[in-house]
Amino acid sequence: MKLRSLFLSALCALSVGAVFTSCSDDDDDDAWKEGSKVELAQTRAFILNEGAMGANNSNLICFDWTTHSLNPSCIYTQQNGQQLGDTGNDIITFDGKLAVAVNGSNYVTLLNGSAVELSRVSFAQGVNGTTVQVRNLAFADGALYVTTYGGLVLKIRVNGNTLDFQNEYVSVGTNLEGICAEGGKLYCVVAGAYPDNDTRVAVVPVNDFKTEAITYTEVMYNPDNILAVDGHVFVQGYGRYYDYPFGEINTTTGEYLLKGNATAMAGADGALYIAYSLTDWNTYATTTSLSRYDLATGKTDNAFFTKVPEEITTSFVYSISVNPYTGDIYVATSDYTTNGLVFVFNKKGEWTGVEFATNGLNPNKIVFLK
Amino acid sequence: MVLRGSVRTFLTAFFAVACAFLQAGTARAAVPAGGMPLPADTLGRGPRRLHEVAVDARRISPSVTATKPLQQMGRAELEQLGLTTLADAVKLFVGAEVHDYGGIGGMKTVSVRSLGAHHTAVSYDGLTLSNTQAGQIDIGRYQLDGIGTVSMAVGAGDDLLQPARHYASGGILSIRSERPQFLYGNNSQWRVRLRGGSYGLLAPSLRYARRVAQRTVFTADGMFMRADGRYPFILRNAGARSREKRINSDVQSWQAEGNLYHTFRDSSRLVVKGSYYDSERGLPGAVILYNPFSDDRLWEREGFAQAVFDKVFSPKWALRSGLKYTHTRSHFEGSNAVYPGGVQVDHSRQDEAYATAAVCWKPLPLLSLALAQDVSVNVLHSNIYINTHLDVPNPVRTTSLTALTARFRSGRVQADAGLVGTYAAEHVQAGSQPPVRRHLSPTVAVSYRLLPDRSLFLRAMLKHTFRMPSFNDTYYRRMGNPNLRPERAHEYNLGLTWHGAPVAWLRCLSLTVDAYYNRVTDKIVAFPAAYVWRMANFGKVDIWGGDVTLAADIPFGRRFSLGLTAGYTGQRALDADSRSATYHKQLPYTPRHHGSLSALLHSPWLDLGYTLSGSSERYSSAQNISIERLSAYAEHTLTASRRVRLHKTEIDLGLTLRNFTGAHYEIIQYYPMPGRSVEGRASVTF
Repeated sequence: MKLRSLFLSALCALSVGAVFTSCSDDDDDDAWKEGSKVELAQTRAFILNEGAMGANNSNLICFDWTTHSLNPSCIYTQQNGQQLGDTGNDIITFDGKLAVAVNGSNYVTLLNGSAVELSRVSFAQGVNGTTVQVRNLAFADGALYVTTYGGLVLKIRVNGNTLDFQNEYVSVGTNLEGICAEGGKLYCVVAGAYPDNDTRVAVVPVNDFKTEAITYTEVMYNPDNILAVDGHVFVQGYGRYYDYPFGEINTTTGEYLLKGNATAMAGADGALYIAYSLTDWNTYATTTSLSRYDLATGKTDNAFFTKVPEEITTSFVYSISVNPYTGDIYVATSDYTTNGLVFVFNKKGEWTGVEFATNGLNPNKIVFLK
Repeated sequence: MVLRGSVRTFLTAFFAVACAFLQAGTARAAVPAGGMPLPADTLGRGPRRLHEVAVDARRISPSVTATKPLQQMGRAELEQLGLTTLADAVKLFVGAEVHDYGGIGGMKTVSVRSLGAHHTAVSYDGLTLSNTQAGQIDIGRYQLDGIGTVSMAVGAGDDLLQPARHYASGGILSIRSERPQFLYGNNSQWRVRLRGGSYGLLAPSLRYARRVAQRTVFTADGMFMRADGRYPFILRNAGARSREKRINSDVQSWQAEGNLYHTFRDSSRLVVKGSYYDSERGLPGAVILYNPFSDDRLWEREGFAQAVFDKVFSPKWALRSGLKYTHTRSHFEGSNAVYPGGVQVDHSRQDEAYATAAVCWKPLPLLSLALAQDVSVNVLHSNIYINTHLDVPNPVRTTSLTALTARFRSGRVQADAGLVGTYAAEHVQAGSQPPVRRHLSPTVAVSYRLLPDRSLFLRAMLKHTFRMPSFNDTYYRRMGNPNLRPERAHEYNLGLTWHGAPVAWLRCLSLTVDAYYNRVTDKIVAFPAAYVWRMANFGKVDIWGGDVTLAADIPFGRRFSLGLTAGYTGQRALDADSRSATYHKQLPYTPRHHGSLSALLHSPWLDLGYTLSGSSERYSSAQNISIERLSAYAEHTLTASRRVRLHKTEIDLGLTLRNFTGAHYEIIQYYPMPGRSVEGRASVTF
């Protein structure tokens, strides 16, 4: 752990150095911001704000994760002269690039590290006669895998700066949600259709991407979100009675084990960071608790987060993201009607005092580059 | 025969003289106290011939004398201004906000003074239209082809003999069928009308009217309307603008209606109406960037039969009663990956049985009392479950509304005080049953003529109303909440009205100025929690506003005249809940300034009508930030019309250039309104 911290500190120092360096005219160091029309820090992060359904107000907000200075405008619009569209539902990074799935507008876009669009694939016309709507993304072995409403997992090959969809897909179930890649397998959440929601996670081998090769693991009723942390796979869902269970899927046996309750989660450094928000329907008051689940010990530490501001404990936490370079934990809240807020905790769980608006509705996720 | 003629002459004379009295400012009541119609023959002295009295004075508009704000448009005005849909007409009323989702088939709802569409009742020939499932009426589907008058009142209207439902609503939009006027002594009449225009609009209609007996008139109307709705619009995407066409916005509807008007020997009247409406339309939804796909469709059928009976027993007693049965079916189909399994099919059937009776009693010369009792039973059958497929509530709601109103009228004062009692009980086949709701809602309204010799009135109103949760609010899948309380609205109005002819070149001028404050509490809204939305009583709204209306009639010689009406609303409609993140922010889709203007130039050759309606900028969400700002707009419409008579045939021709400046705007964000369009109409009456 100490070594890891030292390493991350060094990374951090290097990145700060990189910021200063980037101010120089040294062209060799500017490759990361190729094509950018705006000034941005190399230590940059992107907030994907979903917006509201039907309002075309999804956006991508860039900030410097060392100074937390934020570019208030949508960087996607600044770089590409057009809006992101309706309801960005997932964003991931790989090879210094970004990929975004935009649900209502129904496309997947590949952006360079400055959010300049390199390539996009639209699914508005459906796939082989099946209407689909893109939901979530995972990257494995040079391809993007996309879950969809419509029941297909789509494989989009990434050829350099181009997305290449060659009608490769598997049919998994009804209404797919989260997806993650771990150990050569794709774990796809099958949410099903209300009121007879599904209870399964589909496991698809990356190197045998065929419908016949899919196996299923029983999890909770109406599962939603899934993520891989340090070789562990965690899944979270609504539950039959909206009690928001989360648990772990044993990647060897496929067995699911309930761990607790969570409405949002993110993982890094041998831990899972958890938010559990509940609304009291008598008072309309929402309360949130934050905790840390230790992967090694299997114990939940409810006191890990300290100096938690009241804005979090009385709000709905919409997403949690972890900066892989610093271990800082970014807790984002939403009230669905006003722009989200982000609160930054250090890796010890202490609120740093940093708080800023996301400049968009419903902050889905924050991803970090340097 | 002689008697009837005498009575008619007497009535004509009475009203003319009464209007003259009112104009001159006498202390006598201008209309029969209590708003009761006069009994047919109260003289009891046998036939008597009165000389007609010619009075060169115009009756003061009810909008000036009413205790509550009231606006009205008649058939001629509707035609000459090129207003062919109810929504077009309502947009010219001050204080009415029409939420228009664009296009001929797009949903249009009306909210009076920002109370919300659920607080606005829509009445058709005296009885309200019903949609307990949605709780609001789509006024977009009502064509004005067979409509005689459209009026809108804040609070209830001024008539004492109204159903309790009218008293119970925050605002009421009333439409009345056009009664046939037989030409040249004919006993039957045909009218063939054709409208056609941009975006594939074609709307033929046929009316047949017959005097089947001396006091009985029958009318039958048939209307068809279709439009492909493929209108162009400008799509803005950051700095880029592209010209697009709206898709899946087509509509096709059939409507048939029959009316029977009968006046009994004692002058009591019976009006029986049967109506059937059948439509199919595309629901284009919001314009979504990069994804034009849309194939949601809606089929609606509605049939109703109603009868309204009016009887005056004596100068002290009068009755109005009504019966109505409404049957509505709707069927929705959409295929989209977003629906579970890729397809969604919703169907519902609503039935309403409704009865109302109102009696008016005038125990003292200055005092009238009215008691209205309504009973309704609403049934919803649908496949929309709450939590599981077996969990379909199929609710039955029984509602009783009792309205007691007292009117005091003496000299320059008219004061109304009323109380509406509501009892509503619901039964469900599955799921939780809502509690019985009981509520008392008071109203006080006063009008005072400030100067005895001037038509200058001060009026004040306070009214408490509430709206019941709709069936969708209560039972809609996952979101419905059976424990909702009714949403309450409190309306306060203070106004000054004046009518006169201050300069010689003006035939008359009316001016009304009203300031108002509304508070809505226990608002029924979709409330979010952990990715799941649920209906809840959350929030308060404060609405401060002012309405100004002006109407003028300017003659130019004997053959030309210009009629002008103008209106302006300024309002602040603010979130008043300190718990809310948007506390003290303007409500979405509520402009701070809204105005309308209409001008009618009459000439011997042509009538020219011009309308303008416009709003200042609004926000699409409560956050009130720049990216949610909708631009201000103004829509101009010009209509030329001409009526010619050939032998015993009347021909009406009209041409309307709607939105002739080609303004591209949205009332609801990403639901673009049509740009410039043209519409021609011709009708032949014989």
